[in-house]
Amino acid sequence: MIVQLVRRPIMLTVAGAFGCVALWSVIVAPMKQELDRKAKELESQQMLVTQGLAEIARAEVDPILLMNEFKVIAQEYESLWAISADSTVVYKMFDELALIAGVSIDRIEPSRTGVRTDDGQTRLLHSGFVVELRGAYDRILAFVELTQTSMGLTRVTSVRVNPASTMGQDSVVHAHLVTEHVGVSGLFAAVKELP
Amino acid sequence: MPGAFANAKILISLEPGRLTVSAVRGGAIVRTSAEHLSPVDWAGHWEQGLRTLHEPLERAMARVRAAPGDRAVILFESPQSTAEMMEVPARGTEAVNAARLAISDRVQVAADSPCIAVRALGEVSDSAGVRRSQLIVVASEESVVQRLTEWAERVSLRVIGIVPAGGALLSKLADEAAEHQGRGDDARIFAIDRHRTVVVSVREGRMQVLRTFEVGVQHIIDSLVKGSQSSEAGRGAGITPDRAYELLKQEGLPHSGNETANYGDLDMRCVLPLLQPVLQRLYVELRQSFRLSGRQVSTSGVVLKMSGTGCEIPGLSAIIADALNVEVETIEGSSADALASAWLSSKAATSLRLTSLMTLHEQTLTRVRKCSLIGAGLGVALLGGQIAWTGMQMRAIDTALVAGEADLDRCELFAVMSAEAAMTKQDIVKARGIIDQYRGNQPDWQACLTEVAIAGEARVGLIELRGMIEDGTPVIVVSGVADAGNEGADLNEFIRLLTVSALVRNVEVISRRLMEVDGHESHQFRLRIALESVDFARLHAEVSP
Repeated sequence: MIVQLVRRPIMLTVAGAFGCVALWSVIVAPMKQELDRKAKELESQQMLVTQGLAEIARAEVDPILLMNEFKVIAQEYESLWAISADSTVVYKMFDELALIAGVSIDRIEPSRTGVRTDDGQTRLLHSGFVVELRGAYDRILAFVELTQTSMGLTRVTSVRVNPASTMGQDSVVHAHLVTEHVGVSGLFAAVKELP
Repeated sequence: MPGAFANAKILISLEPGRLTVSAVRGGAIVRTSAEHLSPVDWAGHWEQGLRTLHEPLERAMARVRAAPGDRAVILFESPQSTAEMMEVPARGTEAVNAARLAISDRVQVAADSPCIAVRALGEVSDSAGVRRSQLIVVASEESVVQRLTEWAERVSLRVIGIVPAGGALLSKLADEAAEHQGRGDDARIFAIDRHRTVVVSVREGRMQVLRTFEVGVQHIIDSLVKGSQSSEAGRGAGITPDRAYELLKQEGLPHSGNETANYGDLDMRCVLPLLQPVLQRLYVELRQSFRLSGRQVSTSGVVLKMSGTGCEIPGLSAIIADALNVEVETIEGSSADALASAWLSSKAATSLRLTSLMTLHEQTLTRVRKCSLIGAGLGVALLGGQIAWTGMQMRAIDTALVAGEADLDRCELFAVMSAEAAMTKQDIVKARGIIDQYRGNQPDWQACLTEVAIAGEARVGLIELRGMIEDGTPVIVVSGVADAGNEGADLNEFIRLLTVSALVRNVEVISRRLMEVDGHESHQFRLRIALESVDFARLHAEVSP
């Protein structure tokens, strides 16, 4: 009889124990796992901070200041080949330079174009023109000088002048220029992300 | 230290013909109310599970202002119960078990039943030196205890103890004997209760006798009632037991010295013949219990102490003293209520508590429930505590993580910026390389061609200038004519001027051919001028500042 009387409370106790275990599994165990994860995260964070602060203390130059300097340099370089990368702009600039130099362009035509990829990231875009012009010798040379200095990453690969009566102001010479223009992409990606 | 019964609020005494309910405060009886019951119906009440006593109990409770839920102790008389003192030649648990076994034969209960209770009084050695345990054993049939429990619970009382009245009196007298033992006194004490007399004798530091015999005040009352019912009883014929008890308390015990006088409303000649057997038996039992000799041998100097309900009857002690030829002292404050109060307050009172199996099971069930609840509570508290503790830890870690985020961001920014600076530095180096490759190694054509033109001015006629870059070296190929006279001095001077120029590395004559033009000898020549590899930008800055 006593067994029958206590059966229900014992069953309730056992059920309660199972309930406690279930609640433990459902609530406490995940919380403890999360706690362990966070503890490891904190440990990792503290280690990173310790190492990072040590590196900051050891650093001779502030990388932020350095990047600002690099940004200025990069902008200069980017502006340098901003002109030479665009053959249309180059084409138009020849007329402008001729006007400035005081020569006449008889013929202008593209000579060669192409793309070269350097180590997979840097792309070099080549374009070239053959320019035939006419004018005084010094004007022709002024045009060549303007071409070399005003058109970004540009080089004059060959110059042919004839007849080369040279220095006479009134003499007209013919010149045949072959130019090469280079555009660069794929550099200074990090600088471009700076605010 | 008082026992659990000291907390009782109600003491119920159920005996044949009488139900007494007493209100108890602080272990002392403060109010008492009695209900007269017909002794004839006594067995019927038990047969009906005491349901017939429900109303009398309620009435008595109302009079003593008992409240529902009050803790109650029940003293009862029943032929199905017993209380006695035993001496068992064993010790400890063995003695208790032996006593249980012995009494279970007389009362129809199992030896391990909760309807048997044993109080161990102590140990003595008999004449043979065998240690014997002195025990008070009470027992009752299960049905009696169960009925009493249900009866009291029906009026919402909380029963904390059920004890046979005889057991309670034995226990109280044992306590008094123990006090005398403790003081090293010899003592002969007897307590006359309503239904019995209990005798205890302490001599030579040990309890010699503790026994009960069935002669009490009720027997005297019954004698009076029977005597009053005879035809010669006089005006008081047919008095009730309560009236008889009142007469006893008012007039005292009738005795042979005044038998011609009226005893209250009763004629003494009718009463004394019925009273004498009761008194004779009382004398005999007392004499035997205390091992007193008869009248012939003087026992003067022996003092008996009397307590209990019998003390409330004037003259009873004197009659006993006269009959036994001893001195009888009435213990002050030893009325029935005082004895009951003292018993309730005694520590040992609860040791004789009887419990029905049902009550025991319910108590077990209650304990199991309590344990379950406590266990569940502990489990929930443990869970809650663990959750709270874990949550607290998590919050602490979160706070630390948030606090460290600023430093971490700073470190990460430093690391990222350092990496980007390194990468940008490489890009700058690469950009310089590209610029050097495509722009730096070209000659300053304007400067070089001007140098050539100046060198040839007025000396040679230049037909064609062709500038190019051969294997990274800028070269100008000059075609022209020069006067061949004066041993080709003009051409030589032209070459010399070119050779000394800072812009020229060397001059190589590719061809020179003498030819006649318009009657003049001229040299037609071709020169290959290798230019110095000078950084274009620097050179240009120097030539065209």
